[in-house]
Amino acid sequence: MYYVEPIARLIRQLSRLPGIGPKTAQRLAFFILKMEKRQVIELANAMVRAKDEIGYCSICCNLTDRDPCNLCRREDRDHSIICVVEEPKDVVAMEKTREYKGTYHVLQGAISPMEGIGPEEIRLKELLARVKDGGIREIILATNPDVEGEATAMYIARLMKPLGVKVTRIARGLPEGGALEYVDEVTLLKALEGRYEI
Amino acid sequence: MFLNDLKLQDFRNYSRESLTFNPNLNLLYGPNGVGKTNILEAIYYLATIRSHRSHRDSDLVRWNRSGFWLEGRVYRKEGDYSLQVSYGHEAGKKTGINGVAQTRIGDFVGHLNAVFFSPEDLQLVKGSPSIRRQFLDSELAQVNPYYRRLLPAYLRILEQRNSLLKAVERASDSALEAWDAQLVDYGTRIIRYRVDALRKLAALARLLHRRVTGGEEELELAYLTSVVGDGLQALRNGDLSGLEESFRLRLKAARRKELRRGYTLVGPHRDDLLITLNGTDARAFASQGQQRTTVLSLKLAELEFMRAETGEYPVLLLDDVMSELDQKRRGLLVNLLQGGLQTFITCTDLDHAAAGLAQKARVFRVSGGNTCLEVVNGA
Repeated sequence: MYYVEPIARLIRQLSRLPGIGPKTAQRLAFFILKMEKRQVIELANAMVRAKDEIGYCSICCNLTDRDPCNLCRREDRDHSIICVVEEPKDVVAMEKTREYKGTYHVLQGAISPMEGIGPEEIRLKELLARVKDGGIREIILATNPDVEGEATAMYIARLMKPLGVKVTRIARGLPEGGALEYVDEVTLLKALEGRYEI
Repeated sequence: MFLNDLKLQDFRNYSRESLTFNPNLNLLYGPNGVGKTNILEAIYYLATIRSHRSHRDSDLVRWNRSGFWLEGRVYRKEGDYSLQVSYGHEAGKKTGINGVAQTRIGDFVGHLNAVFFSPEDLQLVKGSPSIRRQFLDSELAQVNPYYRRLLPAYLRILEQRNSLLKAVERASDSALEAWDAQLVDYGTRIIRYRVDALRKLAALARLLHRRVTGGEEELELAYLTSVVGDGLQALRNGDLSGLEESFRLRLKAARRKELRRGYTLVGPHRDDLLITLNGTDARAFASQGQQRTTVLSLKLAELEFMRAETGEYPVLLLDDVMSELDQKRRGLLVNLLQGGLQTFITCTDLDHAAAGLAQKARVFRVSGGNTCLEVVNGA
């Protein structure tokens, strides 16, 4: 490193972040050095405060600043339906539909033996406890449509079977409002397999 | 289809090079180690975004450089495309078609099709099963976009499942079953595509082999699978119906052995291709000469297969193979090259290897050093 220690340290810290390579880290570091001191303090405080104040919801395991989280407290939601997702950002995606009225369970990951992530490393025990407590009619599995998400869904489905709760998996298929000719072959094939009679 | 031109930057030993090709025949000659094969490798990379000989893209970058860049214009029946592919140690692989970056780099493959034939292909007959699987996979991937995505997904499932098998204390039945369903689903699809491709390929190879051997040998190909019966079993096209069920049962039966060994023992990644000559297993009994003719027939069948699937001949890359073939077989190959098929041939010596081809070809002398490539003959 050719930089003096404080700059080098900042670059090193920034390049720990996902998606930030050495070059981007350099650019960010120099940007930070040019920022007003007040702004830099705000940025640093925002990071520390978020880390201090955010924890996991004891019901749905989503990130929250109060426990239980806002969604789990709401009485206008149907608490007998749980939509299971991998990440907090998936909850946001589902909420944007404005259609889903149930609750969530955030696994905080997906099963991936390559990375040493098994069923114990994701928030499955908590989900199982929720179902065992009773009052759950349906579990909607909305993990990602990749191989890890699929394996996670499969695992949960088998886990829930003896409990007699209805388990569904979200469909895969064509995007709304698109033209058929622009859809890639794999999506089209999955949509063909999931066709239904009208 | 043909490749009209190729630009290389920091690829292997080339810092900057620009070449314009003949639509039919191109000859590259020069001593060993000056970079003839590297040009063929670049063309193959432009077709398949992988090298025929190296698994690591970083190997292809010129020494001390941060990445390489390739561009070529391909003319096809439906129109022409400018293809760009680049790799950077930091940025990774990027592809573009007519200047538009591709978000899914897999969609790039298939715009240029290529068949590579080098002396290492002689391993196809007697080498390990993985070489024969690779032979099937690489041609399928070039013509079938679905297969291009199916195969990496299968390998990912396999890798995940193997990791689980290695962590024995975690590999409970329920943990494994979460992966088994996908392994069977994707694996069966792969086998179906391979069997279907092999059926077409076998018919072509049989005919071509009769021509190559003057009717003396019958070449047969069959798909050997690990998902039916015990060990490897030949799978004919008719009996694909119970494949998934059989795969599931075999997997269940192999469970304890898999836990001991720490990897998946059943699936298309364990399959093979059976090559027989006049009814005997070529892997065990073929002579040197028979291996050469068999590989020649298989490669010619690959060309015809790709033409049947895409409607056009792929470009043919012949790396130093002319010297490997005898007069008669060379004659056969040369004959075929008259048929409107763009071919790139490398050789060390113009006289003996390229007998009679030099007049019809654009000839490049490859010398290494600064002026790497020089057009000798402007055909």
